[in-house]
Amino acid sequence: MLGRGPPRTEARTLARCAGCGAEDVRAFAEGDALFAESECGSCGGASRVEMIFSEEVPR
Amino acid sequence: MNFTALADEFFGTGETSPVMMLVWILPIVLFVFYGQRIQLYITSGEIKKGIKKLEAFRDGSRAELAAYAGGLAGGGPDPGPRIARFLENFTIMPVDMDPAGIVEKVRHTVRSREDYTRRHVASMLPGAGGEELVRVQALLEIATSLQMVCRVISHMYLTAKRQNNYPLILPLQMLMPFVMEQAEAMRDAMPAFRAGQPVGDGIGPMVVGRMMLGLKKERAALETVLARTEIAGRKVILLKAEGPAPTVGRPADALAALSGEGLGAIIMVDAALKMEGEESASVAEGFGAAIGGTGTERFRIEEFAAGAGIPVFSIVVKQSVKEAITLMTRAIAESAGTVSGLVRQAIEENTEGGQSVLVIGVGNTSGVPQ
Repeated sequence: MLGRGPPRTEARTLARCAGCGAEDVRAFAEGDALFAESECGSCGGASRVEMIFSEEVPR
Repeated sequence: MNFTALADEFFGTGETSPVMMLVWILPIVLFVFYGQRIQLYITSGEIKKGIKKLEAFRDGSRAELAAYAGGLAGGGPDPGPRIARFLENFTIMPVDMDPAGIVEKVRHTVRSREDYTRRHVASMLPGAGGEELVRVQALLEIATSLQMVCRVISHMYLTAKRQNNYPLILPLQMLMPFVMEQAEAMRDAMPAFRAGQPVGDGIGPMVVGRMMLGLKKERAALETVLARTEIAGRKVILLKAEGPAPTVGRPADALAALSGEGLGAIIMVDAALKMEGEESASVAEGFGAAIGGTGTERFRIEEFAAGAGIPVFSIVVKQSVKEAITLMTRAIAESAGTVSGLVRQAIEENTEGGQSVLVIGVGNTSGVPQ
C-alpha cells in the first residue's frame, strides 16, 4: 500500500522429523543451523532443520 | 479623464491588456532562459534525498561492521580505525586495451585483494575463529561497496551541480532507482551475513550440501569441499564452497584438480537474476556455466569443459537482486526439493552408467553447512 513501506520480515527456522514427518516452525534463534539435528517433540526421533527463511509478518 | 477605462485597459481581463500579456509572456521567457536551471533544481532535490539515504546506509553498515568486529576483538585493540582505513582501499582493474591475457590479470588482481583482505582481517582479530573471520570479510565487502556507491553518486551529483549542467544530471536521475535498489539490498544483507543465515544465492550450495550430508568431505581448493557418492550407477562428485562461512569458494581451482577424473558431464546449480514479471523461486534448466562474479571463474570452467569436451548443464533458481543477498525466502528454500529432483534427472539423462559426473553448488554458502 502507498506510504506503508516494505513489508516487515522475520527469520524462521523449520525443523522436520524424518520419522513421523512432524514440522516445527519457530522464530530463528542464535545457534540455529541448517541441517542441525535435534530430538523430535512428537516421536522422539531425529528432527532436522530443513530451512531457515524469511517470512512476512503483519505490521 | 476616465480612470476606469484606463485601469480597464491596463489591468482588465481582455487578452490584449498589457498586464495579461505580461502574465503570458513572462513565464515563456522564464522557461526559455531558465527552464533547464529550474529542472536542475527540482531533479537535484530528488537526487539529494537519494544521496542522504545512501549516506545513512553507508554509515549504518560501517557501524554494524564496527560493532560486530568490536565484539570479536574482546579485550584487544579497537578494530575501528583499521576498518576505516580498509574502507578507503581501492582496486585498479587491469588495462583492457590489449585484451590478450586479461582474464588472468583480472583473476590475479581480484585474488590479491581477497588474500590481502583475509590477512588483514585475521591480523585485526587474532582471537576470532575461521568462520567469524569470513563473516567479517563479507561485511567488509558490503560496507566497502556501499562506501563506493555513495562516493561515485555524490561525485556525479556535485559535478553536475557545480557546472550547473542539466544534461549531466539526467543520466544520474535515470540511474538512481537502480542504484537505490542495489544499495537497499546491500543494507538488508548485513543482518543475514552477520547472523550466519542462508541467503537466496545459497540455494545451489544448499541443494548440494544436503546431498553431501553423511558423506566424507575432502578439501578441493581454498574454502571449497567435495564429496563422492553414487547415483543411479554414476560416480557423482559433489562440490561446493565450504560452509557455513559466507564464501563462494574457488570452484574453478577445484575443477582443475579433477582433470584426471574423466568427467562425463558437469551440472551447475546456481541462483539467477529473474527478469521483471518472472516469478521468484521459479526453476529453469539450460546449458553453459551458471556462475557469476567477475567472470574469471566462468572463463576457466568453460575453458576446461571445452578442452575436455565435457557438456555443462545448468539448473537455476530465479530471484531478484535483493532476494539473492538477503535471508532466503520460503519459496526459494522450498525450491531445493525440485532442484534436487532435476539434478538426479539430469545425471540419469545425460550420462551413462559408470561415468563420472560433477555437480557444483554455486553461490554464497552463508549458513549452509555440508
